[in-house]
Amino acid sequence: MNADIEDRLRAALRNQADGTDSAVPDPAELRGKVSARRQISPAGGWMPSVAAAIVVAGLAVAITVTVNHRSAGRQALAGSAAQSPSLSDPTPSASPLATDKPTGGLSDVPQPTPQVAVSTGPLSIANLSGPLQHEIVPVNAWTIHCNGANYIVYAGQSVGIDAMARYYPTGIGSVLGVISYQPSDSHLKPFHYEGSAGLGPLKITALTCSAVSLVDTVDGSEHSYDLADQLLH
Amino acid sequence: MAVRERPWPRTKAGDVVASGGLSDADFDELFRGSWLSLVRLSRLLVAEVSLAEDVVQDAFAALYRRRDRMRDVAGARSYLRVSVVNGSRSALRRRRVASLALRSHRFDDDVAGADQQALANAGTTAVLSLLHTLPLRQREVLILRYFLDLPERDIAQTLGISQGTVKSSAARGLKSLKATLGEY
Repeated sequence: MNADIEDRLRAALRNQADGTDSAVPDPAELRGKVSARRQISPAGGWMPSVAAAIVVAGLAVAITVTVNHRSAGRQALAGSAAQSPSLSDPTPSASPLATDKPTGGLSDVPQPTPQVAVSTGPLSIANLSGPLQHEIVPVNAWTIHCNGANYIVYAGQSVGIDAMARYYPTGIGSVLGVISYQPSDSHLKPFHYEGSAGLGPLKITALTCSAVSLVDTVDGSEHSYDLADQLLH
Repeated sequence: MAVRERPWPRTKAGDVVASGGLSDADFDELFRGSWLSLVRLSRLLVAEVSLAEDVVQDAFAALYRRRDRMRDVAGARSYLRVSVVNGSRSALRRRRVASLALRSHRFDDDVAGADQQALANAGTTAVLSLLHTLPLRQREVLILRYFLDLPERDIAQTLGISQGTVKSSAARGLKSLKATLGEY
């Protein structure tokens, strides 16, 4: 009986394998890309560059948030200046830092919503979230095909999630995966990543993707999104 | 039809390979000769061709970065096999919901005709669907044994487990398959 099961298993595996075809890519191209990547990252491997990218992105977001907070603080001060004679003197302080530290009237001002500025020109990993964020309907399990190099994927259940959730653990949502592939790592075809959401809306913060297609692997429906408009303004 | 990798080409001197790393030519030959069989192996583990291609490509990229450390081609082949199995396992981990869906049926990137489907339902698909309900280790052991025809020692080396564990995992896996396939 075991022999019968073994034969059936062997036949099934080989039938399945024989039905699998895959064009063999050009090994020279892969070699070239691996070598190019090595030159970019002398430490070798992609982990150091990913770690560095995450640190840079975190710093960029933190700086932007700080700037926005300060900007909001200045606006609040300007708004309250009319009612507050002590703050109506526009003469700048000798120390620029002094003007950045609001000393009165701020407690009545609602906290500003952090925003991330959108830069023009080529996008970098520092330009996360905000208008680049793209919300996609809830899916069960998903496959993403991205024709670009860098993107971040995560799922959450609420609006307003942006990449800062990655850097502010109290943020809503959970990061499903952070993929930061340099072009030299994108190998021979558009990068492909998949995972499962199951928690709620899937959001994609695409950085250099100009188009993303998402396939619900349970019901087979496919959703395509052209992100170019969002990425290029 | 059994899947066989092409025999490694011999050098003019008759040696199987030069020791001490892989040359670019060695790498290219290994790449072309092993690509399809490794994709097939990974596809059996992850059940999706495009994902299997990614896994194999990553394995070759890693091999190329470490080519200086390869003792010979046999070592490189072994490295690739381990790398593909581990990469497939990682890919499966990231895809737990999809793997649940697999338990109910499918190898979704194949669209078979109606007659093929009828035959498949009675054979290949039923066996493979059941195979994917087994615990991961049992599945890996069975695939390495019955697809690659690896001896227990090589399976143990590939999976990083003892030969005794290979033996017991295979026995349990076959027992589970037999119990369910008996109903078909």
